[in-house]
Amino acid sequence: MIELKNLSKSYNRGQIQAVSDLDLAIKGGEIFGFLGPNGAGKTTTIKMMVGLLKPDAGQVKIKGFDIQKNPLEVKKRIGYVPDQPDVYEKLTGLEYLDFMADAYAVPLEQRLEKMEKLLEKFQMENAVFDLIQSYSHGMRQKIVLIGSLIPDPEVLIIDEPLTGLDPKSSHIFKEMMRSRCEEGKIVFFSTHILEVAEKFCDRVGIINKGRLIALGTLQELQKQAQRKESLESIFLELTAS
Amino acid sequence: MRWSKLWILIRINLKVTFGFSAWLYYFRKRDRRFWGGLGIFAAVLAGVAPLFYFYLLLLQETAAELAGTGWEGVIITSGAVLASALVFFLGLVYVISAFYFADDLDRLISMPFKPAEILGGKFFAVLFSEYLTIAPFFIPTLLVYGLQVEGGLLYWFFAIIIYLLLPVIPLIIVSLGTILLMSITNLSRNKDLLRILGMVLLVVVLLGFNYLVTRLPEGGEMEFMLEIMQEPEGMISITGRAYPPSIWITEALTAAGAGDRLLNLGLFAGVSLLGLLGLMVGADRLFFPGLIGGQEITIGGKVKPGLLQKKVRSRSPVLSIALREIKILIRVPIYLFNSILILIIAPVALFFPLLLGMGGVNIDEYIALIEPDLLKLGGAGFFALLGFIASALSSSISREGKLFRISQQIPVHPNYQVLGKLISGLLISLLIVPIIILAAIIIFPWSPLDIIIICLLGLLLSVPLLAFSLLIDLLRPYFNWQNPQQAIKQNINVLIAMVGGFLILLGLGYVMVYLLERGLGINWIFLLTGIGAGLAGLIFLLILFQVAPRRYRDISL
Repeated sequence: MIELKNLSKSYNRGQIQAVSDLDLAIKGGEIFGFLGPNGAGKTTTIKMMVGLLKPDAGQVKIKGFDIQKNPLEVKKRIGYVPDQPDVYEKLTGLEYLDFMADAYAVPLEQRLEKMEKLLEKFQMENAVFDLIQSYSHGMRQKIVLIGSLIPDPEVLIIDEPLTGLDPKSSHIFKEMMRSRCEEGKIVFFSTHILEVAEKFCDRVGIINKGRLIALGTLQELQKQAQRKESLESIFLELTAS
Repeated sequence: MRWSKLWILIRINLKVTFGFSAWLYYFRKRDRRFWGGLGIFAAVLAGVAPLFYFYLLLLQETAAELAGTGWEGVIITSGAVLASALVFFLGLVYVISAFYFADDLDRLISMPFKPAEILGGKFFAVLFSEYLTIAPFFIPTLLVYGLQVEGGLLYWFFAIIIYLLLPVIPLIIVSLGTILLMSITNLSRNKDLLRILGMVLLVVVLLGFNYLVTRLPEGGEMEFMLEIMQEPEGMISITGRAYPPSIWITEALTAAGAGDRLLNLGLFAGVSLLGLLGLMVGADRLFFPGLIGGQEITIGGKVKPGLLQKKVRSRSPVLSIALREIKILIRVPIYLFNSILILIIAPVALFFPLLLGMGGVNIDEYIALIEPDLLKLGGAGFFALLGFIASALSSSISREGKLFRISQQIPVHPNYQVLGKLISGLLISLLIVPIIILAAIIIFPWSPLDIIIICLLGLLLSVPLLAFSLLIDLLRPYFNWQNPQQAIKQNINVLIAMVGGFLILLGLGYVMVYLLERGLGINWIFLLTGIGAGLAGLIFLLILFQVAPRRYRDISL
């Protein structure tokens, strides 16, 4: 369960309100799409959820733990993939994965099993021995994604997950996300690709100028909007002002 | 070479290197980072002010003693040689980093700029950094001499020109050496290793050259020294042999006739400009061959089955963090040079000339004069000193840059993370052990037991110093660097940690010597020093543990 209560964050001493009074609850087994135009507050919200930013006000609770009060308990339960796959370039892919597994205290057998499976799925089984410096953007994204999946987190939070992934990896990723939800886990992701959100998400939240302006399933959103067509037209209508 | 393009690149490089735009933005937005940064700068200035004051006093006294002897110009020559040597050694790392490891190079290569224009832009940014580096050493010599001889308008005018030109020649030599080294090594598969070896070789060559030109003629040392004493220009000519431009600088400021001065200034400026021209020509031919593909690395092919099982290891998070730190330090050439190789280069640079009897000093006779117990304590102090000047921990948080995000994200308590970093620093300090053993074999009369005591005490003394260094960087990390070099060299935390660490070591040293003079047995002093260092380490560690959770939570990138 993810709970955001009255979450707010401003920059420049309150001059720029990035996120304002955000309330959101996401239950287990759900794929949640977080949409919004550039600068709407998506990444700020995500950074507050994973403990990279301190909220000005409000609360983030994941699986009942407050990120401000019990950061380690929350971090143990989440996997986070940022929008930019920046990783230690001077480590090999395997060293990075081993480091992440050490940090999440993943037992040797479990990490080996997960690594073998994920590396094969994402076709990284040879490249994993090379320095990350030699990876393409997509390969870096894959290694970050694999690193976040090895501890098998209950909540996966992903910022722009499909940018840079090739069609095959993108397909594998979607399949894996769906199977995670079937296991009762949560996938929370922000995206600009509305078709993906439309086909893939159980529920969608649209944020604009730091405020949540729409929330619900596609059908519920269609009911709210005047032009009841695609998610794209709903999105454009809601974020027009 | 198109001057308008060069000017565009110089401007942007200066803005990026010195963060002018960022400071202006902070000032306009009334961001506290502006006043915070200014405050830190003022605090560091205040911290080094006493040292600077003593330097000024020393210069004034030397100038007063030299007055009327005809040797007044020695001050200028020494200042010029010292400043040029600084540009040489610091420039080597600055240049390699700015020319080949800056983040913006990929974008610049794809833009319609000529190689010489890109390199020129970087060169001038480094040159400006060097003005700041040499200012505290060279400007006082110009001031002291100018005030002593009551130099006229021409003196001050020439002094400004010379200050601006002084770093040019050494920086050109370093730049040409670097682009040549990089273009040759770029052909190799093990280019990182070759480049590190090349950098070490350059330092060794410079040291060797310095030794060759300044050594005294064998068998005729006395006559040689007398010759220097008798001829007013003798000392200057000796120094000048090591670095001829220092003669032109001295003559341009101290010669009797205006014509002579102008001639020497013209010679200095002419050679500097010719050098610049040569660098630009060299850059057009050699810069891109060394740069393009410079970041490429060899990718392995298909791997053998079972390799994954063999390579995957499970470790404690603390050890995993310590190993991550060391691996990255070793694999980034600039970090390796600054944080690890310096441990070897610094003692060699310090003791090599003494060992070879430079300056007429016989090292054995000199050592025999020092109390053996004091020498052992000095050895432990030197161990600790080397460990913290290597700056591995005073830039440890800053070096993470935007990847500090990972440290904030992982479920490892910040106290374990700083502990991991501290362990990495101590592991690096262990590299000093072979240096101490070597020093015992070649120079110092230390027994194996002495070596063990020195190393143990040195390691214990390192704990508070390393913890203090890490604390400074944790309190005020510098993340906005464009290339790895800036994370260390433009990181004021390294300087603060060095000054602070030096003061801590000085304080401990003072107590040790005081106790020794009061007749306390050496074993007691070793024990008390060990306990003192352990306690100081514990205090700094506790402070670190108080600060780390808050900083890891509050830092936003």
